[in-house]
Amino acid sequence: MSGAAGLGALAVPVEWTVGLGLCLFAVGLFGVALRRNILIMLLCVEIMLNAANLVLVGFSRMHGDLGGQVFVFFSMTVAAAEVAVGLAIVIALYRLRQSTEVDDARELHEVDYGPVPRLVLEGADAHPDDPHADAPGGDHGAGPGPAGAGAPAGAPAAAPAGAGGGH
Amino acid sequence: MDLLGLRSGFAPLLSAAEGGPRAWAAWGVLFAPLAAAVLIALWPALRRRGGAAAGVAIAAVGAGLGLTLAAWFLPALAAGGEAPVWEAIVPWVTLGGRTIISFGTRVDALALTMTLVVTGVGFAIFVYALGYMKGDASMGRFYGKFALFVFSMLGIVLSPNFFQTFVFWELVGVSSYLLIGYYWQKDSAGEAAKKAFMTNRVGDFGFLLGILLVWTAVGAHLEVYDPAGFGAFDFTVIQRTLDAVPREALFGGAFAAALAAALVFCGAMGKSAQFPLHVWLPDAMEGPTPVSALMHAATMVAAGIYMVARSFFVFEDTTWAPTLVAWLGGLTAFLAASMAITQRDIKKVLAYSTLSQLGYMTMALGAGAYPAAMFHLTTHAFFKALLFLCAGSVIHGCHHEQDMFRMGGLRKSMRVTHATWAIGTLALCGIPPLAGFWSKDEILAALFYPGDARVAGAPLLGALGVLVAGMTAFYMGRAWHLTFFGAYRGHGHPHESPRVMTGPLVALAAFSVAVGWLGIPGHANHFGHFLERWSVFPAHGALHVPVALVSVLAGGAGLLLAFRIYGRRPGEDPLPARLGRLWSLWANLYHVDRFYLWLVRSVQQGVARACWWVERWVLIQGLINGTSQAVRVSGDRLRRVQSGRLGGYVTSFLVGAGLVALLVLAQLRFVG
Amino acid sequence: MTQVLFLTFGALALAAAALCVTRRNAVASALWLVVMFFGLAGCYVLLEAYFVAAVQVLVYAGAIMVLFLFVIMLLDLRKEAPGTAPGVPLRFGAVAAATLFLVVAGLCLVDADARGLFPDAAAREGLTLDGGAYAIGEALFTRWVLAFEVTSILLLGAILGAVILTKRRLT
Repeated sequence: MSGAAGLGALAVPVEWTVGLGLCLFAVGLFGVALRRNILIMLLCVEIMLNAANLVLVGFSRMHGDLGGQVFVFFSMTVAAAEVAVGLAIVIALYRLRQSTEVDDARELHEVDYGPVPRLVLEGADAHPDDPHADAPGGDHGAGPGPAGAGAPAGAPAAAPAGAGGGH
Repeated sequence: MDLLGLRSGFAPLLSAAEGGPRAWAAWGVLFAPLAAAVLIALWPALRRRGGAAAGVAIAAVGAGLGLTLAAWFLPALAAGGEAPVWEAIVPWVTLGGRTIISFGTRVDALALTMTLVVTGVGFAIFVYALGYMKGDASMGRFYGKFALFVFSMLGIVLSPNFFQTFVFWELVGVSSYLLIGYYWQKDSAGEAAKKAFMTNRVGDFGFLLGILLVWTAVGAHLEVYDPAGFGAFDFTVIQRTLDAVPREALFGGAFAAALAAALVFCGAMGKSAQFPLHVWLPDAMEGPTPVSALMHAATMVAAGIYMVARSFFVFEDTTWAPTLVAWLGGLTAFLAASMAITQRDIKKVLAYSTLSQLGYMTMALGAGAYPAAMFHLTTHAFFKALLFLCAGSVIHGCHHEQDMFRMGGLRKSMRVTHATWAIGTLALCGIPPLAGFWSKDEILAALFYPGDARVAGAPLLGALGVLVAGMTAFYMGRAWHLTFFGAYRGHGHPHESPRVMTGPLVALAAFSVAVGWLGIPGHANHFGHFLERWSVFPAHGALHVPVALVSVLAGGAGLLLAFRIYGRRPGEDPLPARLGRLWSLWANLYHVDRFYLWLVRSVQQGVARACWWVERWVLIQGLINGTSQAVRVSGDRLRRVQSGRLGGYVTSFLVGAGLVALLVLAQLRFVG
Repeated sequence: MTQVLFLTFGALALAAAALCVTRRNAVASALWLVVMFFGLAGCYVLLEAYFVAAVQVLVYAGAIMVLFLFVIMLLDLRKEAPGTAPGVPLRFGAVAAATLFLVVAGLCLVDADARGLFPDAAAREGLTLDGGAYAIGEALFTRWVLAFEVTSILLLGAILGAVILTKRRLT
C-alpha cells in the first residue's frame, strides 16, 4: 500500500470490498432463506443486488475499467424494473389472499395422482414352454410405483412454514 | 465410391486377353436367360400362358447355346485350340481411382466347357420339361424360375472374379430354393427348400471368409500384379500373385494359406454337397424332376466343382488343403454310395448317386487332377441328366409313382426310356466305351499315380474309388432291375412318354456315349488338351490299363451281383435281412440327419432360447421397460419437488449455487 | 483516512442490512435498508465511483425505497406472526445450503487472494479511473449505447407489467 499517485496512497484494498460484498450478500441470503414475508424477501434480494454492485465497483477500480461501474448502472435499472413488477405481484397477491406470506401462495405445484401404474409386458406368456412366462412382467423391471395413495406428498412438501425470521 | 462404374466410364478393361464383339457376346449368353425370367415375371399374360413362357425361356437358353457354339467353340476348334481368352470386364466398384470389384465375363477353355454343359444340358432339360410339366397350372412360373436358375449358373461360370462368383453363388442358392419349393402346397417341399438354403448358407459363410482371406492377402501386392486394374478379387490377379509370391509371406504362414483354401472349399462343400453338408441334396428331390435333373447335372452341384477348378491355384502347394479336399470327397463318395443302396425311391437313388459322383470329382480336385474332375463333371452332367430324365419319364409313365418296388417290367412298355436308361446306367458304371468309363478312369489313374500332388494316402483313396465304383454299379443295377425287369407291380397301365420327352433322352444318350471319346487318354485326349492349351491345367498322360481293368471289373461285378440278388425274387429286397445292422445304418443315412436334428434342437434351440431370454427379460423388460419405468417413477418422485413453496425453490437454488461455488473452489485448488 | 472511512461506512451498511433483515415490522426493515443504501453510497464515494454513489442515493434510496414504503403502507401489513413448526425443516435446509454456499465462496476468495489474483497496491499504481458523471456518460453513450437503449425497452416492459398486474379487471 505504498502507491502515491493515481488511486491514492491509502486506497481501499480490493479484498475489503469483496469481503464486505460477501458479508452483505450473506445477510441478504439468510434473509431470503429465513423470512416468510414476501416484502422482506424482496428487500433481502435488494441487499444481495447491492452486495454484487459493490463488488463490481471494487473490481472496476482494480482493473481501471469503467465497464464495471456502467454495469452497476444497468444492474440498478434492472433492480428498479424488478421492484416495480415484484411489488405489482405483491399487490395482486395481497388482493387474492389478504396476506403477504409466501406460504399462502402455493397453487403452483403438482397434484398427487397416486401411485404410478406398474408396467406389465404385453404377451408375457408368448413363449409357451418358457418357465418364466407365468411370472408377472413387472418383477423384472424397475421397481413398482412408490408410495401408496395416502402417503404424504414427499419430502419438500411440508405444511405451512414455521419458524421464520423472528428472534 | 463409384458404384456401377459410371464415373469411370463403361469401357471394358483389356489385358493381354482379347476383347471385341466376340467377348461381349458372353454378356448376351449370360443375360438372355435373365431377360427371359424378367419378361415372364413382369408380363402376366406371358406367365399365365405356360407354353409361351416356356417358349421364351427355351429360346433364351437355346440362343445361349447357339451363341456359345458359334462365337467361341467352333472357331476354337477350327483354330486348333490356339484361341485367346475373351474378356469383357467393366469396373463395378472403384475407390480412389482404383478398381476394387469388377464385373464381366471371361471365356477361357474351362468356362467355355462349362457354358456348353450348362446351356446344352439345360436346353435338353428345358425341352423335356415341356412334356413333363404339361398341364401344370403354373408352368409360366416354373419356366421363369428355371431361366433364373440358368442365369445364376452362367454367372458363376463366366465370372472373372471371386466377388461376382459369390454374388451368383447366392443367386444359385436363391433360385434353387425357389425351384425345390416349387410345389409350395406340399409342406415337405417347403421344408426341403429351406433345408437346402440353410445348409448352403453354412458353406457360403466359410466361402465368404475364404474369399476375404485371399482378397486381403492378394490386395497387398496389387500394384505389381494387377496391371489391368481388375481388383484383387480377379482370378488372374490372384493366380499371378500366388505364382510369384510365396504363400507363407502372403497369408502369414503355411497354415493360414491352407486355411484360406479350406474355407474357399467350404463353399464347394455346400453347393456340391460334400460330406458334412450333403444332407440337402436328397431332399431337393421334392422339386419337379426336370429341376432335379438340371440341379444334379449341370447347374448347382457342378458349381462347387467348377469353382474349385477355377481357383485351383488357391489350393495348390498348400500343406493340408488338398488332402482335406480329397479325403472329404472320398468319404462322400463312399457314404453316399452305401446310402444309395438302401433307397426305394428311384429319384433318391439317383440323388445319392450324384453325391457319390461328386465325391469322385472332389477326390480328383484334391489330387490335383483338375481336367479329370472337369471331364467327369462334363460326362456326368450328360448321363446324370439322362438318368434323371429317364426317371422322370418312368414316373410320368407310372402315374407319378416313385417307389421302385411298385414298378417293374417297364422295358416292354417303355422301350425308348429303357434303352436310354441302360446307356445312362452303363455310362455311370464305367463300362467302356461309354462316357463314364473314360472320365472315371482318369480320376482313378490320378489317384493311383498322384505324381507330385500333395495329397496324403492317394493310393488308398484310389482303392476306395474302385470300391465305390463297384457299389455304384450295384445300386444302379438294383434300380435298373427293379424298374425295368420282372413283372409290373404298380397300379394302372404304364405308358411310354411323349416325343417331346423321349427326344431329349435320345439326344442326351447319344452324348453320354460320345462325350467320353473326347477325353481318351493319350494322343486323342482332346478334352485335356483343350483345357491345357488355354489354362495351366496339366493333362494326364497315357491310359493306365491296370487301373482301367480293375475299375471295369468292379463295375461289371457290381452289376452282375445286383441282377443276381434282385433277379431271384423280383419285387423283394433280401438285403435288409442279410446285412442287418449295417443296412439299418445305411438306411438311416449314418444318422447324420438325426445328428443335425439333435444339434438344432438342443444346441441351436438352446442358444436361441438364451437369446430370447436375454432379449425378453434383459433388453425389453430390463432396458426398455426399465427405462420407461425409471422415467415414470423418477417423474413421480420429482414432481413433488414442485411444491409451490418459495422456500423449496430457494433451497434448491442455493444448493445449485453452492455446487457452482464448489466447482470454482475445486478449480482454484486443484486445476489452475 | 480513506481506509478508516471505508471501514466505518462498511460497518454501517452491514449493521443496517442485518437490522433490516431481522426487523419484524416491514416499515422498519425498509427504513434500515435506506440506511444501508447510504452506507454503501459512502463506500462508492471512497472507491471513487462518484456517479454510482449519486445514483445509489437517487434511485435506490430515493425512488425504489419510496415505492417499497408506499406499497407496505398501502397493504397495511400486520406484524409477521411467529410461525409454527411445519416449515422449519425446509428453513433449516435453506440455511444449511446458504451456509455451505457462503463458506465455499469465502474459501474461494481466500484462495484467490492467496494466489495473488487481487493485485496489491503496487500493481495498481498508475491506474487512474474517473468515476465522474462525464466519464460514465461518455461510456454509456458510446461503448454501451446499445445496452442502454435495450434497458429502456426493459423498463417499458416493467411499466406495462406493473400496470397490468395491478389492474383489477382487464377490459
